[in-house]
Amino acid sequence: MAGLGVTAVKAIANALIVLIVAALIISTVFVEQSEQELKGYALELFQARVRALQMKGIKLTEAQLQQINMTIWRDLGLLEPVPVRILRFTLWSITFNFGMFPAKAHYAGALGNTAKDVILAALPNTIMLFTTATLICILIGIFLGLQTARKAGGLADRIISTIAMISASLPMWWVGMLMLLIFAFDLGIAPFACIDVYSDLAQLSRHVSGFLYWIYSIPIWLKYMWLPLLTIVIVSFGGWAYTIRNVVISVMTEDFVHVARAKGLPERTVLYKHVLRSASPPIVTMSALSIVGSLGGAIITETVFSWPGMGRTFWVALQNGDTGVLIAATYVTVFLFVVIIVLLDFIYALLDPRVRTGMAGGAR
Amino acid sequence: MSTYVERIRWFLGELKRVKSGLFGFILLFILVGVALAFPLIANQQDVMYWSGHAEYWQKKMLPVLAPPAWINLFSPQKYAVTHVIPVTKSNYTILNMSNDKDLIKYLELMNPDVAKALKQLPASQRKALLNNLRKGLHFKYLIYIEKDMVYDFRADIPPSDIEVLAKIGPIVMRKGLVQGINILFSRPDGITLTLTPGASTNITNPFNINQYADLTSPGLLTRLGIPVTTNTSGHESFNEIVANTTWLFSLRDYISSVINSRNPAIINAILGPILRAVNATIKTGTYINPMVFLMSKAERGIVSGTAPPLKGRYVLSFRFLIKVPKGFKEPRFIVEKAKVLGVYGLLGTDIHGRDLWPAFIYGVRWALLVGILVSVISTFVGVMYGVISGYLGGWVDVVMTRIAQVVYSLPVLPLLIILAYFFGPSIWNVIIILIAFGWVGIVFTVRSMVLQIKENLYVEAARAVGASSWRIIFKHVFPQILPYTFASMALSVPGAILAEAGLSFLGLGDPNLVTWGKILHDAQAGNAVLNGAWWWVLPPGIGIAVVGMTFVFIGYALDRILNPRLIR
Repeated sequence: MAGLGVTAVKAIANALIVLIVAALIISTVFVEQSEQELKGYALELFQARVRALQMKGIKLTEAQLQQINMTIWRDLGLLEPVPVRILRFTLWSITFNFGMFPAKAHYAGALGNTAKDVILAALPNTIMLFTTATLICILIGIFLGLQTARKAGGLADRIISTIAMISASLPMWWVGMLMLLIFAFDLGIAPFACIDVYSDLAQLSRHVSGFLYWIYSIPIWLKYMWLPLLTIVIVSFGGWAYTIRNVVISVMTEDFVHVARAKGLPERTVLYKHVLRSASPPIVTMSALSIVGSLGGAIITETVFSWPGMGRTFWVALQNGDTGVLIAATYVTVFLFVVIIVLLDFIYALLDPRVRTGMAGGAR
Repeated sequence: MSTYVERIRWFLGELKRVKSGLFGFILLFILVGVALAFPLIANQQDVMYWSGHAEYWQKKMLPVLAPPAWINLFSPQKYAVTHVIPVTKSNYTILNMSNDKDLIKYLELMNPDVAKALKQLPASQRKALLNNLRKGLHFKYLIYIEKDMVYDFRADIPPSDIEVLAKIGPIVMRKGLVQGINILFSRPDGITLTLTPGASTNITNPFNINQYADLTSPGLLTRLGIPVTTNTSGHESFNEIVANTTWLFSLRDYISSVINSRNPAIINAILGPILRAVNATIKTGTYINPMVFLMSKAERGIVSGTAPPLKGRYVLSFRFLIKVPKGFKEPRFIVEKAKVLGVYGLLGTDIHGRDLWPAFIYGVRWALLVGILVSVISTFVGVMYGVISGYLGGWVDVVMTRIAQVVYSLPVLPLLIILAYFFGPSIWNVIIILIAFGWVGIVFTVRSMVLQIKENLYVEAARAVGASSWRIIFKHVFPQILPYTFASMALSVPGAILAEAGLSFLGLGDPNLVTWGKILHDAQAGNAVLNGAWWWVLPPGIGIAVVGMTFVFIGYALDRILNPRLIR
């Protein structure tokens, strides 16, 4: 198990470096962009505090006012030189201290008005949509990949390869627009904007609450989710099937497969027990890359469907020049990305006996 | 030199065996041809004036959100096609009141009995009487203008609009000086509408002002959309349609404004003839498609738009009876263009009435440029990075590999978004940012290849002779690796194009350039999906996919030809 521990430490150390670099890039951008915004926010805070003190009947001198203003500026980090501020923002980002950034625009589902609230409302929706889509893709991909690998060069194989090639150059968000044209405009069986889910949920909450509300909200979410889900699956399943096929083909030439066949095991057992188990580590790595790749397209796909997740948050923030939210959303997306990679690296290590037993090679 | 020729010949021979690669190169050839021949295929000005030049597109008088014209080949119901309609009848009659003959003619038209009596008077008496009459008139010239446009409607779905772009003026609007206008719309079934309330639908005597609506009456000018300026001469202030005023008359907008006025008197005065024929009324607040209403058979369902279309000759005619006071010029009414707006062109139009065909064709240029520039430069940078890192080895290698690993692990799109937002929207910034994240993919393969090449005897020999590291890298290592990078160069093109399209879609693209991503951004912002405008959404995406696939095909072919180990 020592190998596993070393791998884990290495992966986490690597992830931390990546996160710090990303946070540095984002913070540099932020320090430039948010200067005015933060000054405005500081003024608001100042006025609020002064008003609160005056309500209590406290008379303030000019020096005291100055003092309050300075405290606020110091708290917001406006007094320090630029490099220090960049480092401070980096620290804030790494510690998820986004409650300091006000959100300008109105974001659906957000309860408060800071970047933190916006992200907290959007993030679960993104995770819900994309984990479901990825799970479906993995299942379809494993099934199709194994079937096509069995008859490599056959008709099914060539069709899957072509689909993979085509979908590699298709923008997922554009396919989303087409899906909306077909299913929402022409057939009228899907909602145009998933953001309406909140009005449906609000209506539901007037009738039921607690556990029942939770149960009843599932079909509502599904009603809005199925079209973006279908889009993601349609665009991604070809790539998954193709990569899994390639891995399986290379595994199938190995001796133990011939042995298994020679033993007279049924083909199903050979494929799903022997081949799949030994093909799983590379499949996991490729899954990591695939998820990570789809995360990028997902940002824009969400916008097309008005799915109230991180992607739409990006869009709304961009439209409104809402730097604080933009920074927070970027950092959280980067964080998710890196966490997925680390997790999958770790799973890879768990699956690969060479890594598990501390032998050389294995995870990146 | 001959070795190069041989190599190329060998390559072409190999290419023949890889069918998809051949297909990829043919596609690339066509795409480059389209990009170069753009000025021949489409109008370059359309692209130059794409954004922020509303007046350019207004002058072009294109329909809004029109499907492409070839839709009629597949649609069972034929759409009206956008085309210019000719001015079939033009008449300009001027009566000069200082001329006795014209004055008598005017009197004959207005009051035949008076004219008859006048003619019987002796010449001197007649002259005096005419002079007296002349003093009572407020004008010097009386001008009758007539322009007819004919539209032969043969389709099943009425056009979205009939527009007339004209130059009009000068027309003076003074108190007591009634200026006549009568716009008539006559249908093939004999029903004629006057679009100017108060005017007669049947003009028997063009010089009889009672058959016209008063142009100076409040509201009419605004509804017609004729710009008016207020002039002052001496102590008098008056309104005037100045000479050469541009007037764009949209039949659809005009009828819409009439219906939306919710004024039963006005609605009845204009649409009455049709409504009376079917014994229907327009309830306030109901949506009516003006063109469908105007061009359907006068049957039940005409108000709801379910009546069948009425095919045949429609005439839109403009009649003016203008009085010109002393000291003013005669007015003109020149029809510059009259157009029926229906389905249009090869790719239809967007919500701002812009032709999508030139934009789509122009998109090829930027897709190719962005894709190729980004992939070539980033591959080159990546190869150099990998070569240096692998060749130098030691702590330089460790640091460089670590840096590459960090960049490799960064998610591209969120950072692209934030950087594009930061550096401002320019295509060159986007290209630079894409390169900044794109170079790293190839580094690791190149590095491991260099580690092998480094051990070769000839490298050692070169080093022994005293060649510098740089000389060895450029002379011996680099040329060996280059061919192997072509495949990954081609395969990285789709990613770059997708990334640029994605950024443009989010509104972070170059605002002055037309790219496919920008067209899709406009489509999203203009609710193309809600309007069912598939012709706005479909072509740019297909373009992106085709360019992407071209390079995927080429990439796989190069991989199989140049990296023979991969042949299974």
